[in-house]
Amino acid sequence: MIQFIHVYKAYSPGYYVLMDLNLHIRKGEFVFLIGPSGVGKTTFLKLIYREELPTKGEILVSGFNVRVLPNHRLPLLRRKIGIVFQDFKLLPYLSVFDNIALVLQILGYPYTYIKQRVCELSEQLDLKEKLKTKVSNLSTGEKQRVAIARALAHQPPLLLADEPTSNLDAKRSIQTIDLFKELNKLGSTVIVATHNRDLANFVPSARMLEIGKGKIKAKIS
Amino acid sequence: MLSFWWKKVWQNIIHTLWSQIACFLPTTLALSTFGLFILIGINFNLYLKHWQRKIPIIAFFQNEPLTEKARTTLITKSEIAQIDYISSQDAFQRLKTWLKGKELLLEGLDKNPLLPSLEIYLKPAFYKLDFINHLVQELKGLPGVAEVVYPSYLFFLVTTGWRFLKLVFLLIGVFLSLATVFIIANLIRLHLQKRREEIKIMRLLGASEGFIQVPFYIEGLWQGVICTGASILLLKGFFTWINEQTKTLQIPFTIEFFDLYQILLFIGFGLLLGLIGSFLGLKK
Repeated sequence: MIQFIHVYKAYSPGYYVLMDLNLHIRKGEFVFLIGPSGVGKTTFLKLIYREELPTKGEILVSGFNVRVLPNHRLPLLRRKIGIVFQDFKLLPYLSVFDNIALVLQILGYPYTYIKQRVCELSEQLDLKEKLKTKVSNLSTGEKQRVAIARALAHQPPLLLADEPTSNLDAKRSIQTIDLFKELNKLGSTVIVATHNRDLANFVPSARMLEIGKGKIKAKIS
Repeated sequence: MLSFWWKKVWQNIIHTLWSQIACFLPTTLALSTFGLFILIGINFNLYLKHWQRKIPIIAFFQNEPLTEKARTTLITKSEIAQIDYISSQDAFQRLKTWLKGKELLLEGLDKNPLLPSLEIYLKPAFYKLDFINHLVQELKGLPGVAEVVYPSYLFFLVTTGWRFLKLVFLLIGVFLSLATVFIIANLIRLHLQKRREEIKIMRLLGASEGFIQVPFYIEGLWQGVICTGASILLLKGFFTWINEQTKTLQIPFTIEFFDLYQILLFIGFGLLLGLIGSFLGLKK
């Protein structure tokens, strides 16, 4: 599913965020990427959905060689990925419904399905009362739940979640991880980047990758 | 999908209302000016044709009547719409009517000096200088024809002048169309700039360039239609006012406005300008 082959990433010459990273994540795996802030977790995810290009090395995702993927084929890769961004990346002047529906509209789903799927997710994430509310009027926690709903909407084969529970209370964090587990059961690969080690306890079968000083240093479990 | 795009366009319009208005005003003005020139052209062309139809080619005869053969030659010409025979007496009667109140001028004439004539009116499509000159020469060759009169020089001046005017109008039209395209393209660029964060998010979610661009194209088309529609209304108001003024001042002509077909064509042209504007705005 995902393969990192001697991957280096530097934002300025000589200052590597990731160094000689070799990694293989299989289809259907649930992976926790653990490490403190600023060690390169977000960069690692950005390399997968090609918001960033590696300085050196090759990255293969779902059969796409990310480094050489031409721009016009990039949407094909990204449509296979659901992303929970750390900064949510929601459209503030659209309603909750429209934000969740956006990804389904991009994929060309019919309106009846979109409506049904958005309602389903809004119920699971406790957003039903807020569907018509503009995102700009939501609390940070609610925004995070909208971002999660949007990432899950099209049941992507690959889910990347960057600190998905950072603004949620314990109960909602568990709910969120449960939703990720459900998606994982359907065969999707899930990668959750977090600084919160305790989160991994809720998914005993998950692989934990610890990231620090530019390397994925330790493989726990 | 379509409802999503319409929603997006509507949201764009609401969120960029001031820049929409800022674009609407100069675009409408440019299209109105363009429409005005088209209408001047249409009316000028109508009056030119009207004037042409009223001026016959006149062939004067020595007192002999036109031979049967010559008459048949003229009547069978498909380019000729109408031939009127004016006898010497009819011509003299006309002269008297024209000189009404100045009959003294005709005193001392012991006989009618006027020659009989044929007044030949052509079908509208054949009012072309080459054809007229050819017909004049042919008429001059007919037996008994003393003189053939047609204001060829005036005709030449008017038609050449009209051709020149058409060229000027075309250049103005091209200039105003380019101005419209430029304004719409800049509006689209401005909106692209304003929404670059949103576009970035849509790209991250897997949206294709086509999906992102469609609302901008719709927006350009919308600007084109709205501005053309507004300029038609503006021109209609202006022409109605002009026609009322000509009635009040008892000027014996009315100014024609676009017919339905021309209105649709003009709106279609506005759509095309909007589309080109969007295309250029999105090109980078």
